[in-house]
Amino acid sequence: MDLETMLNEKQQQAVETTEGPVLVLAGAGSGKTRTLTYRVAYLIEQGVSPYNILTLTFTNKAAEDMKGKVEKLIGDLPSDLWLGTFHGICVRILSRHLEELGYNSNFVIYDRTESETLVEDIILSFNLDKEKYEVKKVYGIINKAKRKLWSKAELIEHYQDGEQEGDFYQNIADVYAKYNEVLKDNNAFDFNDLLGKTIELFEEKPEILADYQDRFEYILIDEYQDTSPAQYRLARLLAEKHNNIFVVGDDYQSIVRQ
Amino acid sequence: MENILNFNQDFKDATVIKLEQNYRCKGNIIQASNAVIANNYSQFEKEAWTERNSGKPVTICEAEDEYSEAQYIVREIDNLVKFGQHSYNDVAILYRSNHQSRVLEDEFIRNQIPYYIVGGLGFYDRKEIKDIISYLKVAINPQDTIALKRIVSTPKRGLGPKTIEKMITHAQEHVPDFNLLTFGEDDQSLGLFDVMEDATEVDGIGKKTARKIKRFHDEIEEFTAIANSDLSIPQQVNRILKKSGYWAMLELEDSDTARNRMENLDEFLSLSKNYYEKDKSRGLEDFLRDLRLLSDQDDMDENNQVKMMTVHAAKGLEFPAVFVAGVEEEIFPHYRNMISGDIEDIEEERRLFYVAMTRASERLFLTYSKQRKKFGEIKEMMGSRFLDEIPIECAIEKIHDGIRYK
Repeated sequence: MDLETMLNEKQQQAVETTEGPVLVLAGAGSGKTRTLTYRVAYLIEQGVSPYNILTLTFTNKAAEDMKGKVEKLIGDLPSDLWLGTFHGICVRILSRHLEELGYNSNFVIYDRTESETLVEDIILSFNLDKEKYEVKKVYGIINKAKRKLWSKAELIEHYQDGEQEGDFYQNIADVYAKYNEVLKDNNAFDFNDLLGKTIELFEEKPEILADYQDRFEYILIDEYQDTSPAQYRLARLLAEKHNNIFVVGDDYQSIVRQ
Repeated sequence: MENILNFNQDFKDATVIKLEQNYRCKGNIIQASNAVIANNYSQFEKEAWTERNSGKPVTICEAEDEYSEAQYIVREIDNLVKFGQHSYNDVAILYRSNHQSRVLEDEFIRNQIPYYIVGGLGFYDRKEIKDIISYLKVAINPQDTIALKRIVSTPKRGLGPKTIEKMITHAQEHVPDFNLLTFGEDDQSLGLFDVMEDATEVDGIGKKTARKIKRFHDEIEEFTAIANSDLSIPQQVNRILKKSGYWAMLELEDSDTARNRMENLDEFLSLSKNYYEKDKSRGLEDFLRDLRLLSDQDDMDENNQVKMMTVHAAKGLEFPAVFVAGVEEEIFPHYRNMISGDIEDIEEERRLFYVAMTRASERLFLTYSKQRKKFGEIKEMMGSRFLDEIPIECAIEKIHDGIRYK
């Protein structure tokens, strides 16, 4: 692989700085994907086992694109190279530790519509006023709480000065708790769970976390400017041991406020 | 955003490398977008440059109203395709909010320009796709009440939400182990599916309906048998599609909508085939799970169509020609972020606008209307502040006086 002719000076530096944390501020159209793929290929060429490399992207399209390019560079795509979306990688991790989490192997993933239907059923079973506890609104709050990895108590605390009076938020917190309970009983994850449960697994089972920390000597993250607090937490946990975390992003293009 | 700004603090002794050479955009687009983003404070200093020539100037066009704006866009697309050696596939229309697509779509349809909305009602959000997925879920786990409720009345079986409601009420009162919410495999309680076996005792449900319920119950058992069989995933999908009467329902309907749904189901079938052939050890459960992990951009096809999408959905994409429509105060920047009084909110809008601009490699068009209909009333609009931030030397301004419809 001839880096000198294929990459510009800065891209080359980004590819070759393999050790320690690296932040690549990549402007629009500056060859971000190119740099990422060359880095993966370079690491492998330097003798790093594909098994020890983890690459995280935001869309499947980006992941597939990158896989194709890596394959072109090194001939074969090693099956033990983990390159995928945050969600996809989390599913991969979760499906190996379902038992520890109290799930069985035939788990399902709920999409938004299904999550909302479940919230609706819970509101019904709690005999709450359908008008007051509008499904979309309740789901919105629950979704936010899950995204932020709040506990039931944290949800109540967060909304204690909210615009609704009485036991409104207390009731929503109850729906929230029930929602999570039912998901688990039904062997189901919603989208937020994919990240949330992975983090939970790592925080509650340090020995499992240690395995993955050992494994992923080199971590690469695309679109770092848009990582959520949960994604950030996950990245930090995984990178803690080897500290070889390479992130690419453009603060100019950050468009998801948390 | 904070994550990237704090990377240096979060990870000690980080190496920071800036990639500033832009290989995508022509010089004028870079100059214009650099100038816009330079108005933001909370960011790293960075300046994009390129070895590409400056290209055509960025076109800023003022239109009378939203119809005339759409007309202008259509006309320019025509020009690009006829004289500019571009194809429809090279063109993207970006807007700040989803609802802005409607007027554009009308004009596209009127002029027979093929288009595709990315992240709108995507493939996986379509009714028939959601329906077949629910059928498959029920086949795998008949206790899945959420999926069960979705399929009960498509196709029509003489059973509706009312019947289901009656059964649930009855079961809640009379069946001690009934639990509507949980239906995990290890769950010992009875679910809706179990109650359906015998509905003769349910208040308000006659013998005839009870028989229909029982028939549906047995139908589901057949689905389960298919899901547990050795058939390949596409065969399983196909069988369930036929056995359920879903396919026959569409055939019988014989309308454009129905034909369109059948095409989509066909697409779903080939999708399942591809999935199966990639790795034959995977089952129906894996297929459904992996479907859920796809995102908006993932179903963007490569057909020769103009792509329409919000700026958010355009992240990471690149097109030879980009139109940003509705570049007006209160639209872009969005009203909500204008009135908040928080400078961070305007900076967010500016970053969004920067993303929109830098999706373009060759041609960039920014359009706005002087007036537009909002909540049924005609409202005077003003060009966005972001337009004023673009240096004159890299842009040309145009006025489009289209004829108004109606």
